[in-house]
Amino acid sequence: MRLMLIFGFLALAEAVPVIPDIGLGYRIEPGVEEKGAVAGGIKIRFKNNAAVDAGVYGNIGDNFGLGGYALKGEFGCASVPWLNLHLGVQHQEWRDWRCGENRAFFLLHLTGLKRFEVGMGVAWRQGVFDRARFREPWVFTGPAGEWNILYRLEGLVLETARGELGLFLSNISRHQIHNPQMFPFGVRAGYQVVPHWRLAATCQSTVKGFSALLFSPGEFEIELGVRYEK
Amino acid sequence: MRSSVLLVLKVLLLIFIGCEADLKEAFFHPDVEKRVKESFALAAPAPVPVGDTFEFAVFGDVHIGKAAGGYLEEFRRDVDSLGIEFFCVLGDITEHGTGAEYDSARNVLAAIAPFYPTIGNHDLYSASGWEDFKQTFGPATYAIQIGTRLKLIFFDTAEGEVGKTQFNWLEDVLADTNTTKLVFTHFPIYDGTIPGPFRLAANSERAKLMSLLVRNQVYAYCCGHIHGWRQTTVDGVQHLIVGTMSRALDFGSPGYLLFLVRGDSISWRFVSFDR
Repeated sequence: MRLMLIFGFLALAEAVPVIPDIGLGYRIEPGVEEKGAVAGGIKIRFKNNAAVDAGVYGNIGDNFGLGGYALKGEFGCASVPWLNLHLGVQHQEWRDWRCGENRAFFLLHLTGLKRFEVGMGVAWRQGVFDRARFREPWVFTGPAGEWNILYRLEGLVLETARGELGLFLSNISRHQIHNPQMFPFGVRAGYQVVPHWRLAATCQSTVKGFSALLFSPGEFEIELGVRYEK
Repeated sequence: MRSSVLLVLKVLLLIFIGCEADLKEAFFHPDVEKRVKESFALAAPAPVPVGDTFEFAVFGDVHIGKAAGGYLEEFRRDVDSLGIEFFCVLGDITEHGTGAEYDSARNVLAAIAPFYPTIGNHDLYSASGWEDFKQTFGPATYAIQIGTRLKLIFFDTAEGEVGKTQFNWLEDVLADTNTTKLVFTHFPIYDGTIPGPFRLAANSERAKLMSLLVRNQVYAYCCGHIHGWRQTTVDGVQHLIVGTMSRALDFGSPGYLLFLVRGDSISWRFVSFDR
């Protein structure tokens, strides 16, 4: 939260290019949880494809209240402009269930492919089921920690002067890391409504059942937001 | 691109052939909500009468119908020599979920001792899998109280998910504070720091279930599916993954869990078939 405030002040001062965003979402996972979400974030771009991205979201419905927050750094290298290294942490909490999860990850991201983005990486996820500590974002050791392979594949299927439409297969997003045996896929769209203001929408679902060879739809998620890009 | 797609399709086909799964059943099996509601309409098995001190066993993944056979004969000898009162079977009782395999499973298992089963993914691998399970064994989701202090809770994770109705039922049944609670199902929640794909799929579902077990001070969560012995304790709840009873599918430490109940106390040990 403090970082978000700092980034906000930087944006106001126009010290660095800052891209704030805000959005609303709805998520249903049958039998597990159903909730709306309010999310906000800020991205600051630096030279050589470097950037810092921070976000926070709250739940409306199941697990009402703070849902989680995330911070990610993107590091480019001038001599290898097609490769970015993403390093980040995520905290998620389920207030009704009194448990949380902290994640740290790295992702190697290929950026030079035309109409495609590809990323591969690894995350450490640490479940926190201690009722007294589940809200603490710095707990990364304990009995329920595990490694998680990350993948991200996104392709642009339509691009105009003001908008774009893409398809993705990815188990990592700003606030979420899915287990490797779930296959999140979806559509992402963006459209510039007026100068500097861009609408962004994501619709995502998952297939689960790989470990049983009995497949069923998992969750369904939709997000709609707006981004200010100078 | 086209060759890559063909390669992926070939790999998927090989997986299905290798696992002997019915492709239609992979997508059109009765879902967990339907199975759980039908389980609730069936009578739970009667509790075995026991004394103040008794032993019972827990194992999974028998895979009756798999050609190489299993360790049931060794287990039967242990039942006789140790005086095991009853046993629990954590799914994948059959290999293909056919009526003939269910008949064979009932005859083989019932000849050993009284038993309590729940369902696994292989038990749904034929069009009549769930119907045959119900007719042969009864419900897959139920709770029974053994003696005055022990509650055994069986639930259905045959396709790697819990579902709304079953979550609500678990919240009710786990709220009992007067008994020692043991939970039995097919899928693990957690299987170590380098996880395989063979555990509950959805992260939030795992978090919700883990939280339920911790909050309600469950003594142990016993499961199978990965065909290897694992033991972890997560915030006071023991996660015990028993090995397989099938020789062909053994990926380490075949055997069973042997629980000893003595008055108000309970303990367990793993009995290995690597003798």
